[in-house]
Amino acid sequence: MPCKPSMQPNLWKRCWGQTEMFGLGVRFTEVTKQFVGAQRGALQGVSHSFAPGSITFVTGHSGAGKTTLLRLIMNQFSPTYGQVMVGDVNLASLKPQELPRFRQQLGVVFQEHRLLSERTVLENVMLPLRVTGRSRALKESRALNALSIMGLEYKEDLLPEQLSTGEQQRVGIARALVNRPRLLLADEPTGNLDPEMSKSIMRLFGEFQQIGATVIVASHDLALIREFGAPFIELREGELVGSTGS
Amino acid sequence: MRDFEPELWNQSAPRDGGPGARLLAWLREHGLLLKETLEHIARNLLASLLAWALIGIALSLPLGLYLIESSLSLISEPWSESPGLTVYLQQGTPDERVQWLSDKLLEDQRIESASFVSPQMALDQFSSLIGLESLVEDLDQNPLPGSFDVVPVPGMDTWQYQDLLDELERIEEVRDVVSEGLWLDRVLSVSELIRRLSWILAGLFGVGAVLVTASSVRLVIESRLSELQVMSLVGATPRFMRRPFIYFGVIYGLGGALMSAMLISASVIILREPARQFLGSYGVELSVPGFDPPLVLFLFVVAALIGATGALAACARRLKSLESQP
Repeated sequence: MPCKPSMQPNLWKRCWGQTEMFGLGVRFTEVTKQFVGAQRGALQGVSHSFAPGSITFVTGHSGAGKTTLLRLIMNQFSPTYGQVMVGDVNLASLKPQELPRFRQQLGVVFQEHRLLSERTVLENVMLPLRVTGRSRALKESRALNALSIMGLEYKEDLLPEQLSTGEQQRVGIARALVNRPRLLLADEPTGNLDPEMSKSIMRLFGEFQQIGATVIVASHDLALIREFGAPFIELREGELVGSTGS
Repeated sequence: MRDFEPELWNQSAPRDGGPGARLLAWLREHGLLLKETLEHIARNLLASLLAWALIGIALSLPLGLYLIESSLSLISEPWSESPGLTVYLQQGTPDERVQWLSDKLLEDQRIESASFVSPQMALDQFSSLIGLESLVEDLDQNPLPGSFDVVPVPGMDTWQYQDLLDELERIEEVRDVVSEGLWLDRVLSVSELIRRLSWILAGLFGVGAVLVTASSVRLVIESRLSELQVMSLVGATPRFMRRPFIYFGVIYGLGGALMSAMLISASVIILREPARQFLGSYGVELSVPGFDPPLVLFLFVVAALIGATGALAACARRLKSLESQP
């Protein structure tokens, strides 16, 4: 029986073969992040829970703290005050040697896609699998499938500079998904895409969430978020000023 | 873009396999890293050559001194147990006293052999050595004394040797006793000095080579910083991120060792003939010991270790601050 999006979760799980997808919940408790020399906190007293297996948009104007929130989840830096929990792990207690394994459970779509310019599209997408020491056959197979899903089949041997900006962003998304992350973080993933492509990407994230992954998408495009109908939280100057449906 | 189809995702995805497949993946990863490293070096050949030259020079000086010290050790080796003695007699010592002394020397248990060099034999040797036979022939009388070349038995300690020397000096017919140990002591002193100097320089230049490697690897790290940041964010371990740079360090080290071997070989070729002539005047045959396969292997291993150490130092500093990058 073919697997299709919007199937029942148990069928999705079967379609994923052995992989069980249990999304990681994220909980912010009174989180403040103050960068050195900054007048005010990039995040100020934010408390919010992202349920496991949910999809949530984080919206707000430029400088509202969306990227800081995602980078705190990635544990790129620690909060000045407060606590960030991912799954049952308090990120403050994560030892340096535990950080790589933690991050291997995440998929990250960067705002500026951050592809490696000297590596082919395929090598870029394979990167998260390469760092985990997977076999070449598995790496290639998964990466090619991810590219196929993104509509980038036959472009695997090109360099990023040979792609359009939208295609580059889709390669970045393929790279984020290829490792089957339990928590997908996307920072303005549709910033470089046309409206049709943006909707497709959002649908894709929704479908990914349906099989159990937790998805957190930072976007300033409120119209797109509303059209998609997913819960969102709104940040303004680092403060959580509103949330819907979560 | 098509719909998300998990069966597409999974159907053709082979399993990772057992330990054998993991090992194969690991080996392939290293092969890929080596290929990428060599490609990077080929693209930046001038900078790599500069690094190799710096490391090569740093390795060459202590290595060169080691070779000189080894050569001096070989020169002194034949005398290192019990240096020979030359016993000079008084001018005009009668033949019967010479014979008496010869018997006395040969009876001595501490002496392996004693051969008499008559004044005429000494003059002949001298004239043939300096090549002025006609001048020597014009001398009214032979100014050279008779002498004994005495070879002590091997294995004498310093005290026994000194006692023998003192006893010989006290004999009435003996004017002077010259030990080959005098100049041997000087050679050994110089050899010891050079040996210690080479260790000090090996330490200093070794640190220098590590710093040169670290600096070169640091430049490579800087050029790949964005790649490292992405790797870190997708879960690469520090060991995984360090790996390509250790390859860089080792290749820089090996290139430096090759440069050093070439420099030393060129120096040996340039210095061989004058050194041979100089040592030949002392009756010593030149041999350059040590620059053989074991030493070359040692040089390459040490250079590789220096390179790896430099790379690790560069990585430790730079990768630590990776997270603080914007």
